[in-house]
Amino acid sequence: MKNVWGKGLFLFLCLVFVVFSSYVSAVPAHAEGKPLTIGLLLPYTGFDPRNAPQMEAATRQRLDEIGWKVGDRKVQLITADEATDPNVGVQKAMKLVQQDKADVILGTLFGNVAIAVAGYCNRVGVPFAPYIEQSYSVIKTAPQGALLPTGTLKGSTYPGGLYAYDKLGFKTASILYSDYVAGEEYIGGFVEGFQKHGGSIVQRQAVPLGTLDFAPFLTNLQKADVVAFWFAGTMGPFLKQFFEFKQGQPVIAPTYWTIEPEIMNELGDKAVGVIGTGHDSPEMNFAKNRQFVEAMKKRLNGETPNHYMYSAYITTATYLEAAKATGGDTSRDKIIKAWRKVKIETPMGVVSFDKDGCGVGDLYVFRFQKEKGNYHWQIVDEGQYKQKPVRAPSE
Amino acid sequence: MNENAREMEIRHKPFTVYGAYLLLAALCLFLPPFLPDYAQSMIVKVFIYGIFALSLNLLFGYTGLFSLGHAAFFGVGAYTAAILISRLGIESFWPGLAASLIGAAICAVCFGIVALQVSGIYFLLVTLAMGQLLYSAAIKLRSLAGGSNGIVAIPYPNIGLGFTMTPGSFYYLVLVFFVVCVFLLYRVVNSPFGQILQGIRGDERRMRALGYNTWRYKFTSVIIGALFAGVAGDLSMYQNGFVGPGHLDVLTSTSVMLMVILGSDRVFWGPILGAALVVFLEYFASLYTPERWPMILGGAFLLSVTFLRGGAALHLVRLWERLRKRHGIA
Amino acid sequence: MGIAVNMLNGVSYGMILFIIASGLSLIFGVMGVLNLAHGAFFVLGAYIGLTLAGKGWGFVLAALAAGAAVGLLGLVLERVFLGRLYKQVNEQVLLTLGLVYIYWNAILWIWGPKSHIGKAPLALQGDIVLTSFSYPLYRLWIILIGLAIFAGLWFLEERTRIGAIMRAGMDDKQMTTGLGINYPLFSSFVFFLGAFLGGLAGFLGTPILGIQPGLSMDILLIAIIVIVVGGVGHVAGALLGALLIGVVDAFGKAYFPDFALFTVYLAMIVILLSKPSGLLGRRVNS
Repeated sequence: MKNVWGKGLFLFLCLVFVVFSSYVSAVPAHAEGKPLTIGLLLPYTGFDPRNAPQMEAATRQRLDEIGWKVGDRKVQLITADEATDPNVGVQKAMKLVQQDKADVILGTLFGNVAIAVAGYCNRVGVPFAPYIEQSYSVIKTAPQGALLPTGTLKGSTYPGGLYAYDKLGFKTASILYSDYVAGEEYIGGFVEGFQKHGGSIVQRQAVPLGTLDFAPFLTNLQKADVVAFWFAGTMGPFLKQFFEFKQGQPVIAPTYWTIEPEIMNELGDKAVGVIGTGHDSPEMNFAKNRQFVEAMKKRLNGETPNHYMYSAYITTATYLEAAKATGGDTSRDKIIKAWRKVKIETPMGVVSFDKDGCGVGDLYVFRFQKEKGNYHWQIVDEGQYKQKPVRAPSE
Repeated sequence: MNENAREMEIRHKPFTVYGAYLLLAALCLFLPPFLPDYAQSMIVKVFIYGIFALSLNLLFGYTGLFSLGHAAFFGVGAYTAAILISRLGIESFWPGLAASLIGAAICAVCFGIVALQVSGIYFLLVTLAMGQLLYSAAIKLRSLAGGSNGIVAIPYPNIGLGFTMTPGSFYYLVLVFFVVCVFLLYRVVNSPFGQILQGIRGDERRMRALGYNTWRYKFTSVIIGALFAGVAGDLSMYQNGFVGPGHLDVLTSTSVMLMVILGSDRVFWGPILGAALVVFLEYFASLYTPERWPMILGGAFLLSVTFLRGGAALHLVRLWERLRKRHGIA
Repeated sequence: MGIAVNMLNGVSYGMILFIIASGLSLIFGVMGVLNLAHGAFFVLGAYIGLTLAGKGWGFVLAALAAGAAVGLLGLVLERVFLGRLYKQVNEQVLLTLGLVYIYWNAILWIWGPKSHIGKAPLALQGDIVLTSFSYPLYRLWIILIGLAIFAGLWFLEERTRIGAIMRAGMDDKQMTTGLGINYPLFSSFVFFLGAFLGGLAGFLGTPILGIQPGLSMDILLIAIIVIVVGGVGHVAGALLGALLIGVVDAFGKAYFPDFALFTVYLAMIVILLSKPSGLLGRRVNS
């Protein structure tokens, strides 16, 4: 390949094949008799691979419940590791779509992976729904092909802000959060709720990702009625250091379910009174929830389900419901239309979607309490945020 | 230091080697439309990382600059093109490519001026620090660069010939770039300039004593390496449809360095082999043990250090030479 | 109050950095090997120590046992792999990086992906009141523990025969063996000690930092910055570097939070350009 003629000929051949190949590698139509394939992306390895096996278990639970069939079409589940890395996530999504012929992509945990995968799915025309709340920009990235069954980041923390100002009477707040997009949005929801009726934020501290030693930020805290924080993966360590430096200071963890339960139990009495918001609780006493909790406990050796498992379950459930409604037709436009119309009863209560594809459901405010020697998160405020779209007014 | 492998390549070009090239070319040209989509994507990835690894080897194998910040050029190449497309609305492929090259060059000038003040292991540490600095900056720049999310939803390139690109045609685009880059880099390393670089790797003091301004040569090699890394970054962005801070971070830099070392830094096409090995190893390991594949990868590197000193390509070349001599093939 | 408390924050954080960096500096300064798996040593030490503490071992015992376990691992590493790669930088990088991948995943496999916080020993828990504010007692203790370790290492370096060998820059195999010193024993000892310090730092850090699997790379990067800034070859260098970085980090986060990420990397680059061997270091031949 070292002379001009060789290269010229070669390039000409390439041009010929560019034209040729665009006919040859067209996207194959869905063959009849092909099982409905769910491509599931979860962080089995990577920076924070905590809940992947449980989320997979919750997905399988739902599939077991419907007998792995939609109508007379069989369902198969193929999992892949996104390693909390958007690069890997997109590569695996590519494999799921191109090799395994997935009809839908579900899963992903971290915001940056979710949005990158949403972009890819949009490009190849495959529907996508992440597990757990994600930034509203996921819908904006794939307006015709992505849904957020458990709502947006801001939406999920908004009630906490409202509650802090309206019900607890806090007028000023000092906030800390992980300095990246999801961190800003998670705390942003709280801020919006808090400011809605007049609360003011006296201090914002953006903490670099990967910070383990929060002392400089804690000793820098200005006087405020309440402290609210959101960190990626280090909620527990922060809370622990918080109680070392500040006793008697009210604190709010907008997404209480991101704090590792072991750590809350270790903190024990010190942590009583911490407030958080969430969609679900293993303690809520209605049939669907009880059944779900029991089933998951059996699957996972007695472990009680957390929000990650709940949201995995209901995302799968809403998709399968949509597939049932279309009679097994998983072409993107049909399934998205049906998916948006889904309204079902789940262990999280009744879940449906608004016109943009954002989840509509119930949110509660929780408080960490001690009851009969046991610690647990107790619902202290319900009824305010029932059956509303889980998104902040600004979105 | 085993110079033999490289010298053998330059001096004689046996008929069989041309034959091998022709076969490879035929495979690359004619096979892909019949391969499943995903296999195509993997080969595209090998091409892209092949360019990336080759560009690093210009600094490492040829000039002796051990850089752990090479991902900076890769990422800057991807980001500049992505910014052009998403923030400035310029959708055509060629301005994006030009922006990648310019961005990578500017980045290389900064890196070169700072990092070349030191050498050896300190050079490694400076490049590491600068790479991390860029990574932190990328996370911070929320409106321009999308912060920790990066820039997403990038469509396939629009090369202006009036048709929409599919994965299939994208494959051929990348193939063309791959061939061109390999060709150019080959010319660079076999030119007098390339010889001087190798001399600098061998003994910089002697080169200086002979009157060469070694700093200028090292600086130029950084810039050239950066340009090719930028191209790789640009193409990678199109393949994945996004660019994020991860393109810039230390794990990407170490990953490409591993490709170079695994494949061989002493043989011209070693890094390409290294890229292929890593991509396919990652794919297969991840398929069978999704949770344990980093262990398999680590194990592969350990094995290569113990049994494949100098890189896989070096051993293949030696094996080939032994076979040739034994059987008297021309 | 602001300055005093930030100083305390910086110094206590810096002490943890010192302990881990001293291990890295030892292996790098004396053996010329940049052990990229050192971050994994830190994480391993933390997990092993926490497991032992959970089984009822006392704090001190758990700390020493964790350190020893990691030290043994370092020893095995040196014997089996690194010993053969004398002065071959490529292979060292490849090897230690490969080990990072393996350790990281092995830790995940054995202990699961959960993060933990350690408990300070009962005697050291709680806060003390210092003038106008209260401060966690364990952080103050860490400063003392760190200084004790420094004293021990300094003594080793300045007053023992092994230290004399280290100080004389014995990264030159030929010279050492020529002088009749048992080089394999010496290098094994150095690796053991270096790894021991890494593991110890991991466990000692748990009451303050907690531990999570993803920590290996982050802690490695900071340790590298510390030894670059402070210099290798003398344990005082590691101490100075660690304290500097800890304080710069603490003040950076308190007063320039937007640039907190940058300050430490910039500090490293500045030092590398003005005095590559670090503030108190001597040049490493590699």
